[in-house]
Amino acid sequence: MAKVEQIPRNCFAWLLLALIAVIIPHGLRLPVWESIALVLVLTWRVQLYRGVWTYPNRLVKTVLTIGSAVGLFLQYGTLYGLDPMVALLMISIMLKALEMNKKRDVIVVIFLGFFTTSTQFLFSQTVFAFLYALLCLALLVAAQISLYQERQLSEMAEAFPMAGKIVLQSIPVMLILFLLFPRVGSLWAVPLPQSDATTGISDSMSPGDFSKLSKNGGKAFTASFDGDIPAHRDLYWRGLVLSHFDGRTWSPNRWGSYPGGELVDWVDSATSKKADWRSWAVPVGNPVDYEIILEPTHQPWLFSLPLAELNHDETGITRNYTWIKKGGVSQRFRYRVESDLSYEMARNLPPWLRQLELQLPDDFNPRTVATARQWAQEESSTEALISRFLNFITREFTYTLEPPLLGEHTVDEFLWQSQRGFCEHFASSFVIFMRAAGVPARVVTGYQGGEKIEDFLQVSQADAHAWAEVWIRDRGWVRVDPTSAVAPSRIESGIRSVFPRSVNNPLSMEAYTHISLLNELRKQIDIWDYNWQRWVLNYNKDNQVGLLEKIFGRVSAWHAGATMVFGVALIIGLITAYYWWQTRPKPLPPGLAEFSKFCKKFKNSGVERHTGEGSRDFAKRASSKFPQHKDAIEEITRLFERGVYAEDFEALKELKVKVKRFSLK
Amino acid sequence: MEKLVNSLVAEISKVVLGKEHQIKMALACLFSRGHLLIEDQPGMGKTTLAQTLAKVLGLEYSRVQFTSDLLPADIVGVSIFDQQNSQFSFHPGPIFTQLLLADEINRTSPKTQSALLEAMEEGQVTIDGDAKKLPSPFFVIATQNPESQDGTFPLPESQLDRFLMRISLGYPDADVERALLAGEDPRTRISELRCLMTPEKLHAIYQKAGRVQASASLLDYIQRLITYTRTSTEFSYGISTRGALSLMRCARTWAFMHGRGHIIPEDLQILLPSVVGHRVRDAADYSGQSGYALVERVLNNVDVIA
Repeated sequence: MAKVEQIPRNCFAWLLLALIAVIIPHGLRLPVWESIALVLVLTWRVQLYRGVWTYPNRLVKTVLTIGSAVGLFLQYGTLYGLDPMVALLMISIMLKALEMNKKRDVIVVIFLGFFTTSTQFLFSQTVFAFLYALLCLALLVAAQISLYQERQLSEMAEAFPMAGKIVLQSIPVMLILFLLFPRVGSLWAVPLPQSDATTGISDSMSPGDFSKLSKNGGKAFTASFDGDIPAHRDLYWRGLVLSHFDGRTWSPNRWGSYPGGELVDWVDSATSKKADWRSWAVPVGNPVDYEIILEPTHQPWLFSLPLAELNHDETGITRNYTWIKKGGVSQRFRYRVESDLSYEMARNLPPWLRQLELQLPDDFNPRTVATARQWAQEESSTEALISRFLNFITREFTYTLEPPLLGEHTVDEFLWQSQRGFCEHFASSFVIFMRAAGVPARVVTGYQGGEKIEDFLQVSQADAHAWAEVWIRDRGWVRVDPTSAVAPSRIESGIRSVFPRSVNNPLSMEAYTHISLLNELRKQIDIWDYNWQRWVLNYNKDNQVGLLEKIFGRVSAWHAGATMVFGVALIIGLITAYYWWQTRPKPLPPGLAEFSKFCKKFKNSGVERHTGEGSRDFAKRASSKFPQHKDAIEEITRLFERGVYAEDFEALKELKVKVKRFSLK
Repeated sequence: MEKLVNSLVAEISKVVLGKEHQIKMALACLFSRGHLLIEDQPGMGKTTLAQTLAKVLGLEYSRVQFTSDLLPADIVGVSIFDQQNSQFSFHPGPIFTQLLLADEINRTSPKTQSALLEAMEEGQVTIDGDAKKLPSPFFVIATQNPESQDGTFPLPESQLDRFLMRISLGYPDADVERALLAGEDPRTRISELRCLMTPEKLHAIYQKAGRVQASASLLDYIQRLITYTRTSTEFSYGISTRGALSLMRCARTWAFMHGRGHIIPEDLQILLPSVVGHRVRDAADYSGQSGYALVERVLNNVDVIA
């Protein structure tokens, strides 16, 4: 009969737990039918484990395999791409797990599990994803350990602490590889996950958009300043400029409407050539330098304080002096910005551009247009006109997260009927009013303010804001924020001071700022996340080279390789040394030590003491082999017996001397 | 003391020829107030040894032949209604003696075997709810045939544990056997033996033997031995604490019998097969025959010096 390789049941149990843990993070990304299939296969496996069902036969396995392959193909149309690949991996690991009944199969599944764990990082690289991956690793190692143990089911839990220990021991090696392993450019291009779902500020603005965004919450970006964080009222994070109004919705100018010239000036660190229109924006001298880590938005624009200067390849500046990134921000993006809070922006406005910034749809908001024209004649300067409008809204208007719905003539209704609105209502009506009065104006969207956590500034979706820019002769584009006239504290100290519970999304931690414990926790998590991003995720080839330079002064592949090998060897050596030290032979108590020394003198003489042989028996054998030493041997044995077993200290002393003197020669 | 032991051994050897070591063991067992189990084939001199011991030590002696129909009352005695006095009077059984020879103890039913339990452990028997003290000293020397023989009830572990030692006599040497065959039956000489012991002397031995020193290194060695039997996979169970205490008790007596005030590892090595051989069991052995071999393995694997 062939030898049956029994797989310990503990191993199955751990493996099931590990598989569940490994699949969960991918579960939500998979097509629904595949998630259901995985759950069914898992159920089958559990029933197998319980001995209720039997293994699938060859036909069932073939149908399952072909069925899932066809399913995947129909779902994605291709296998090239991250999502289909992961889906394929998931289905294969589960099917393999279903049929495993030999040790070899279990090993295959465990290693597939390790691989799958690493694919989690293609989708999420937060500190929590890392900790979760460590958990998956520990579970898989526990399965691996229990594969080689024959234990009772009740002792199953014992494998986990051991696995934890192994994973912890591997962390130093992990660190060394992380720090030193050469960061090779991608050998193959994995199409990164593409998401249609954009988060944050979108490329258009209609009444109600921003209040919705504010209620939703979620992190937008973090900014860490080289110096002090500027005053809250100066933190206008420009995102994009909206110049086209269709009666309800604001959107950016279509590129087609810009005649000639480059619309975007891409950064090219090699040539550092700049488009001529960039010189029209001049810093006046209030520089701030900072670094931003932007959460993925799947949109191209980057947020920065005006007047910003980025030096990052793949970024470019538009003619509106906002910054964008090639291909959109699909993963966290870190960039350095040099800004100047005092600036002059575009003192000369080309006539074609002026035309665009005065655009208004016909037959909308007649009362606003009429009032604007009348006020423009009454006021002598643009500045006076602006302050008259701001005075007008200061008196009667309410800043609210719950603005009433507006009909066709949104601005008319807002200005003379509802008089209740959020930032987009104020910004939009102000710009339309100005345009009707013949002053070039435009809406700017982005974020205003942010929450200071430790030494960095965290900007949330709740800080989303819309304001206006007005072009004034000899001054260029000037920022005017009508919201500040209605709700000055929104600008001075942030949205949370006006609406402490603005975020009402129950999934967002920001909804619970009123519970101080949760609020502290949220801040702590943000700090971890920020540091994780800063120290771990941003560790790249340049940092690596820098580190090696710090250690060796210069960098070569040889150095890196040697350090890596040496480091790993050192860690393994230390761990081994620790275990050796734990189990090292204890020094013999006095007397026994001397006797053992005495026995060692008989080495290679033909009479060596056997394990378990007592002193008398040994002495007898030794004396018969070396009759010339009989007296000395018997004396030593007698002293040993007296010293050790009768605890006679004088005998011990004498024993020491006698053993020292004793020699076979 | 050594002199006394030697003369005892010499006296007994007049009847039990060529078994000095076993005689010494038996003496060590009795001097440690322990009960002795002699296991061997029929006709090896088990009963003779027991009889001789009783005679030489000057102990009151009775013998019970265990058979399959023996009842507990046959050993401990019965209360019989006395019509003259109109009350029950107790007729003590053979157990009320100083040395009880339980011959072929494994031939009887477990019920009767366990009637001995209380007597061996507590030195008393309870009859009709009445505890009766047994004479002091009280020894049980049981003999048993190897369990492979037909018609035996093997003693359970708990009962085996009550015996301080298990020894077997083995075939005599060829020249000893020749002398036996040529000469007269040495058993006839039992009546001629001198009594060399008194109960007072026996009590003195108990007292003095208890004061024999066990050094730290020796205790380390004992603990290593015990731990080995408990952790090694060869054993289905290791030495119990009672087993370890028994070993210490015997070792003290043994050292005292050899005129030493301290135990040495050789004492343990010589005693271990007899004292724990019946208390350990090979993991793969269900008949309990492998004790001696196992103990040999313990002694060969646990070093004296460590």
